[in-house]
Amino acid sequence: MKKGNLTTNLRQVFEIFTEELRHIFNDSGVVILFFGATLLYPILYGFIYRNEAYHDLPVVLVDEHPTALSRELARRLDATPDLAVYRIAGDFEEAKHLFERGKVKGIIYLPDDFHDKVLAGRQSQVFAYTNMASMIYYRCVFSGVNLVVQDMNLNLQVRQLQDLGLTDRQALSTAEPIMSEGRSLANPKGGFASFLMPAVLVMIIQQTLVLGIGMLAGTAREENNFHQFIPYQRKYHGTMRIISGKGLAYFVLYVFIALYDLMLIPKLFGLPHLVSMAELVPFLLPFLLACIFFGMALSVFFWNREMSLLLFLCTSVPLLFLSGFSWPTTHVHTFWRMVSYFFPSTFGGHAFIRMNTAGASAATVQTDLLALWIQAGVYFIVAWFVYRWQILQSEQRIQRGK
Amino acid sequence: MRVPKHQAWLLVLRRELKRMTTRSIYPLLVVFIPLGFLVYFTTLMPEGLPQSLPIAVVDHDGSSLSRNIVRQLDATPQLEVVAHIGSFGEAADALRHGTIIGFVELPDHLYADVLNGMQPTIPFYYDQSNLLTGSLVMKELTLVLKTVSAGTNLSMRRARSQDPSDALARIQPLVAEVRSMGNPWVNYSVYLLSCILPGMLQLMVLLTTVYVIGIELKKNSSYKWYRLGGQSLWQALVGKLLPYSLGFIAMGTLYLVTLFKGLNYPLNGPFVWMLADMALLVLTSQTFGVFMIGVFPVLRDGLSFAGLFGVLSLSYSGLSFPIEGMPGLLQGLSWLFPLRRYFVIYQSVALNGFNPAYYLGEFGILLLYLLMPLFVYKRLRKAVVEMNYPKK
Repeated sequence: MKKGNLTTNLRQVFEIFTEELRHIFNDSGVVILFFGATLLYPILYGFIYRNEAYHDLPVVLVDEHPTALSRELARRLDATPDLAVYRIAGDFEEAKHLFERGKVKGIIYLPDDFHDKVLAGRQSQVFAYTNMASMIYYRCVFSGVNLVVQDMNLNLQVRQLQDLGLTDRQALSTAEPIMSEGRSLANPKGGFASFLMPAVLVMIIQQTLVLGIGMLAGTAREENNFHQFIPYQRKYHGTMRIISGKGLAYFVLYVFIALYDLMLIPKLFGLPHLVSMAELVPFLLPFLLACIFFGMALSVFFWNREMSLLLFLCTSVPLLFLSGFSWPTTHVHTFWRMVSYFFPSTFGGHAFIRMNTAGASAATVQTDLLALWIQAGVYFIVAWFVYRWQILQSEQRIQRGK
Repeated sequence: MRVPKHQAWLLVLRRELKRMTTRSIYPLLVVFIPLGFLVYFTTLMPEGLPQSLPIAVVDHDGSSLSRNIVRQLDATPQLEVVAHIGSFGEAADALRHGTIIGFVELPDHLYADVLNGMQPTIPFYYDQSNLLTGSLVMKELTLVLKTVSAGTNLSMRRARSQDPSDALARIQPLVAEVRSMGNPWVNYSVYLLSCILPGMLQLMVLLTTVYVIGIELKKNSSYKWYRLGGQSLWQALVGKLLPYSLGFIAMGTLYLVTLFKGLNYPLNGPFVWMLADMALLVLTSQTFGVFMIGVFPVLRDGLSFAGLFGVLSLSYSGLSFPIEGMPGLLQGLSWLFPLRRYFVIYQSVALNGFNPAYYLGEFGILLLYLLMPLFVYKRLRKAVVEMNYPKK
């Protein structure tokens, strides 16, 4: 067979490209995935987690023996951003009842000798109980109570030192000889949406691509007489041209979709967004290519149009945990870390969070970018063999049919 | 097999069992994928809370005090000092890159300033792009630096010859004891798995239910199925879905046994209530699946709907972010998600060990969800009989 010259090759790639675009836009299922899910899902999540932080967790304070000190504690607890004192109860039973009815999410308990112990110069406990229905409840109670206790300790101490005759300055520097001040350099407000959304956005891009490509391949196989997903046509001989043409179609669409998801959505919802367009490009290029060829390589498993939804959709949540969202990747079981290297979302998620949320440059995350390029290369080769195999099978069947 | 008309569902059941055992997709959906979730999530995080999180120190002081601080940081199980870095800039770069999660900058003349009563401030920095590790590091750094300050305070008081036993109460008259009920070790796996595993199972139930009905519509076999069920959609549905109910309830039971019996997750109430909770989650997910394919009697649309709902359920369980912290309008939507009710019952039974009186109402709501197919009964029957929806 004579090799076509460059122009014919390119023309054929372009034909396959436009053909694939036609397939995409004629398939409402794929349109829902490529445009519905990618455009609407981020908005939905953005609104659900719009409040970012949880404030004023209702707690009940059990004050068995009200004193000036316990009243001060109550006032200070209520003044923290974390907690709101829903009621001051006289005994534990009343507090438990409120807790059981869901009126309060935590109980703070002061025994009746609370103040007496302090007066006697002994340590006095402030007990706080919360349940683990949400990590956020625990965090509110923990930080709220500790903040108040530390402040009050400092005050009590300073007052006592002043009574001993120290000046204000001396009292302060004795009570707290070393001060400390923490600052978050990424996601400074500790917002929940700021934490969750970047990982989800990257995952949405990968999953919709794999699901959509799988659906297109499945449909093609269903509609083709030979249940093969490559229609037998002479000009389609070049596997390279088929992969390039189809891949280009997904790529062109997803450049726009990714810019919407990764650039516009964070701005729209006021999430941390420290990555510039110029820094995003070196990330987007390998990430999209890796996802696309990954999807094409995987599409061989989706033998009809519903299979990708049925079998691959359920990986979304497990994969989220492999991208270093929440549980750190360094602490994931070694076996699962190995598994995670197969998925573009692992490196893509990490790189995007570093760049978008922590302000890393593309150069800083070059290991991730390199990994994505390797994935793109490997999956391109796998996709090439998969498609080649399908074409050969298709040809054989036609010849047998003659 | 001849059966009375009201037992036609038995014929459907027999037909379904044959389908289940001859096609590989069914064991995949009912057994292998749910089993995979169980293995995955129970082995993913070998430690209950991440230990030895990497931090760095920028020590401008180089005194015995600063070395002591580094030692104390390193002695904290949750932290590990992985690097001594020369400047703030380099440390901030490492943090941006993610090689460290936090760092402490010990200022020049730290020790001298402390001795002179200048009350120096030690700045520390952390990264909350990951809230879990970020807040852990913040908590531990705060704690260590407060302890160092208190220790210095104590030794200065001793130098002033105050009674040392008395001194601790003087510097920390109040002590906070924060306890988490139900999950006393604040174990992240316990917290996560209790809801995420049922959530993943629910997703599979939804997809499977939509699939087994939708495939009949797609393959134009739904009328045959309906006729076999004695021209009664109820019987056709019961016969078809029953094997999956049993399969998924068995799988859910395995989940619960693994978590509560095998891994000894906290269970402060009767196990049987958890079993009931799980069984109802499976059954309501099936009725929701019927509802979905009834609303969209096209296999692919039904599956998309099920997938969207199944993944969204995890957000609406309230596990990640409390429902009452969401914007008002979106809070109301939580009543549409069976997983939310499952999780509320789990909290009451397993975490808090409440009296059943407090959660029987939740069971009542789950039972109400079983009526979901009523909303689409006519529409689904029409689709099943006429088979006039697009197949793609």
